[in-house]
Amino acid sequence: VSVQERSGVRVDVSAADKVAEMAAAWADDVDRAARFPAEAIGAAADVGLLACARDPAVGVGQLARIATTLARSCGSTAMIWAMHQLQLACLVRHASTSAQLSALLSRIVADRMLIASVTSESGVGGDIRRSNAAVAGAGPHRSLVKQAPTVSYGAQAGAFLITARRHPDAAPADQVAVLVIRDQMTATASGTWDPMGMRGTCSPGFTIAAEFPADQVLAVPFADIAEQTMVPLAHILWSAVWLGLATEAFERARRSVRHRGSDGAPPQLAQADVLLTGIEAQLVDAIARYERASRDGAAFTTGLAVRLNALKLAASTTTIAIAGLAMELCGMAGYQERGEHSVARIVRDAYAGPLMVANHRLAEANAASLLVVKRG
Amino acid sequence: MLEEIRKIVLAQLPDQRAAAELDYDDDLWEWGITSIGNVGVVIAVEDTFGIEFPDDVLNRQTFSSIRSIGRAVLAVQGKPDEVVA
Repeated sequence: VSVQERSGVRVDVSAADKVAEMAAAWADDVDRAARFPAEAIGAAADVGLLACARDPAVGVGQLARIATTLARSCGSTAMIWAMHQLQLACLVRHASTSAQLSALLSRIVADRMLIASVTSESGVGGDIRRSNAAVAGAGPHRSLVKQAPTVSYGAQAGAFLITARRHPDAAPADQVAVLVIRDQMTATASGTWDPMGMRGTCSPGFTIAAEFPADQVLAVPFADIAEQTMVPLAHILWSAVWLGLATEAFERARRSVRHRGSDGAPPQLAQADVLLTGIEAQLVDAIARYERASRDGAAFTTGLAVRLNALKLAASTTTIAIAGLAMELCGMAGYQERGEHSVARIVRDAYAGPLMVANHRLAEANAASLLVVKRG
Repeated sequence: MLEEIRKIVLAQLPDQRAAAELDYDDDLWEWGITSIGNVGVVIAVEDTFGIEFPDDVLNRQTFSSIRSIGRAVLAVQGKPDEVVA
């Protein structure tokens, strides 16, 4: 059973395909200029693809499938789309009991705003479950100031989901999430954006200063949002993006080998296929486990967290390995930045994976958890 | 039993005030226990009471307070109706 069939959803794959075509047409230009993929994201908004995660009929498997489709054309477009869906899913699942937040969410969707994530913070060592910034103020008004080392599409987003301590005296892990729209805040970019890959995501640092009504603070503790939605979906959708990069690299290599027309084929093609099939299967398995846990309403176990972290570790590192093999197979044509057998941009984009929540941190957490999670 | 669990938990809490202030019903996550510290608690509780927690018990809620850990220990020991003291 494929991911798509399992989720049992009316898939508008053709809409994703149209956006993917637009993304492919502009991918080189976006990459070269390290600029936001306005054409592809605009196309996604035009066909209703930005609001996917708000539709209860759209399953996680289908979101993953769209992310993979987009990533085959442009890694940055796919990652922006995936991160936006992630924020949207957090709000749909954890903010819909508040009339004020529901109204704000409707406005965000109607106005086709992108929602950016402001979870990273200078001085907390890369741990999104700790904050220095705190929500301040009393009565109906609140404010917060946060220094975030990376905010993807921070200059283009219309709304921001920001984590902070519950109040100025709260412990670092006693966090809430706050939904703020652009006219309630200032966002000052810091540093320059000229990275190796994923250049279209436009993710420099920002200093955020926001003033907002108290009811824009989500009532559900961020600990629950992170555990039940943000972390699992991030690992699934990011992995789906990397799977798209890996699939495209593999296909380019396959076509390149065929194009050369010699007898047989180099063994690296078989090696790359083994790796690719591994992460495809791991993604399907993780989605099934996550959907089962979400459906049952049972507590999210350490065992599930281990599987989702392992997916992220595997997909991010294996994509780099597959892209490397594809480059070997394509030879100099693969090493070139342009052309139908180029895998250079894919290689550069893939190297962002292990840094998005550092792999060493996840590996450390999993190694510790594996001491108590029994394999049966 | 809860006093034994309290000692195990204290060894994993970074906050020095916990030794004097930590109550059986306090939220351990709010006291700043880390996920790796939580694993340390699981291992020490399993070793101390000679039990193994099944996978579905290993979650944030079970290990949210000393008392809830005590309840989980009794459940694994097959004594879920015993009062946690």
